[in-house]
Amino acid sequence: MKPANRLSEPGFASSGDPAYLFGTDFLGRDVLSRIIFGARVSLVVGVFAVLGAGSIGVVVGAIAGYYGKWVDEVLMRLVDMGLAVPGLLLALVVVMLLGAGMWNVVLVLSATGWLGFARVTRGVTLSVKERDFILAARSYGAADSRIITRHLIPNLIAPIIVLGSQQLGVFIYAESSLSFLGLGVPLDTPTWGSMIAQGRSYLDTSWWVSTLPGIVLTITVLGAFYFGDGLRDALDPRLRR
Amino acid sequence: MLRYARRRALTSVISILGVSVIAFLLPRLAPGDPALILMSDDATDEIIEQTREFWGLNKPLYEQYYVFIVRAVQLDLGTSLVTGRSTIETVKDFFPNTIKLALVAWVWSVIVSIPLGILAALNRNKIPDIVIRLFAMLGRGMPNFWLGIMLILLFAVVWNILPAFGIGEGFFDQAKHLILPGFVLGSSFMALLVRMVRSEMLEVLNEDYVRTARAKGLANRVVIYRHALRNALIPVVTILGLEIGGLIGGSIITETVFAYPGLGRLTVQSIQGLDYPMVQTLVLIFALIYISASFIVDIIYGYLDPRIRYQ
Repeated sequence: MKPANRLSEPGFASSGDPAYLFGTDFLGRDVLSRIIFGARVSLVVGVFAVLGAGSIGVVVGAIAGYYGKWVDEVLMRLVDMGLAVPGLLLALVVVMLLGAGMWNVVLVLSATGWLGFARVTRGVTLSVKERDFILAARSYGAADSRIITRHLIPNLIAPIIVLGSQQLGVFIYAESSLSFLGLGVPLDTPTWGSMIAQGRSYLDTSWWVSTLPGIVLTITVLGAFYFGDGLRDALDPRLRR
Repeated sequence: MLRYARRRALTSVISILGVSVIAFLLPRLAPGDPALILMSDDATDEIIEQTREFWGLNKPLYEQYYVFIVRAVQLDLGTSLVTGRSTIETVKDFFPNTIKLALVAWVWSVIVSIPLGILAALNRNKIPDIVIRLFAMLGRGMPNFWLGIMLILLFAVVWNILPAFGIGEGFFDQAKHLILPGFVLGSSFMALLVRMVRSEMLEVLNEDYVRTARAKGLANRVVIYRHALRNALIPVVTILGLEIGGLIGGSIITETVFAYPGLGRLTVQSIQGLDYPMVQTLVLIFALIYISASFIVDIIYGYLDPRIRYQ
């Protein structure tokens, strides 16, 4: 890595070096390869945060909706409380306690993101548990745990998958925001958020360092949203507009 | 209505207490002695002992919480480790700047999104609708911090017509400094509102009472504004209030991008500097704003839509 390669223009520009298709950053690192490596962080964090938040939320929501009464009241007040703090602020506070790091970001997003899953799961559970097949299961003596795992949760899968795919975009966005603020994934790992943050100091000479990772990030987040919307339309025709 | 308001007030108070527990536990969950965490590194033993006394750190946890709540009500939550000033005083300094920014963002997004949403709904699947939907989709997917940097690149670096950082002096200069951050902060809210107004309008336009109004031979304008829009806007009102939380979250990012001296940037700096007293205060203030806003919105909503009250 020669110092001369610092901030060289993207290969697609007329004066650029074709060896670096997206140019290089202030340390002479190839922007394109860092974007590709950054995809790993974004997608891993996004997928695992959806799995983490989804698991907690589905269990809490199903229990609240199924048992009702004071269980529901207590759990939902807890959810309300969590939703009473702006999500990003809550995430930042948890980062403050846990410290930065990729898996800590997954933990933070799961710890703050399950609230929405719990809300949706509870809502669907309330309507499903009135259906006849639940009554039938109960009449032949099935235990609550069996009814919840065998009869209730399978009926929740469609709305949860839809929410999960929409949340994927939200979590990728959140990870990049945390990394942008320097409170997410540490700087030795390339992430889109931190690349955009670092390019900020070189805006007057090197527009590509911040711009190109941002375009990739926007396309990824939009892709996740479109995917979620498409799934919703396919799985839940009532919501189609 | 009064019963509904009372019940709603009770849940708000419970939420505020819950958040106060989070804020209270924060320095106590962090690894290390809370008295050291709540004081700067160069504090003398004497000062640390005073801190312990101030927060009652030698007492059981529930008594510590009581001390914390009493201090919070008295607006005395200690001093910032970074500035060495009272945290409440610091918030007072930064608060007006964030309000100004949030107001600009809120106003422009509402003014722009309601007509756009109506326009899109009335031209469903035609060119205006497609263009507006694309616009809204971009606003939803484009990260705020990146949009901010791109606008700085264009308006401040390339064209040099708007300031990129800070707050400015005097009315016109300050207003100029609010344009870019205000636009960025409002953009995702605008996108959300457009989609919402559009889908609510589409829903309402299919209702029987709209068909009846049309059948009576009312002018199209009257049908749309008097019959359809009024009903379509009811759910939008909720979002207007709930999104105050979104604006606070957004202000954390936007203020950092534009180095705008408000509560959001203060939050990031306090967290980066492990300034626990400041973060405690900010968490309480943000939650208080957010919870009161959603309380007021729910009351308005209950007033506008009687079905809500009787749930």
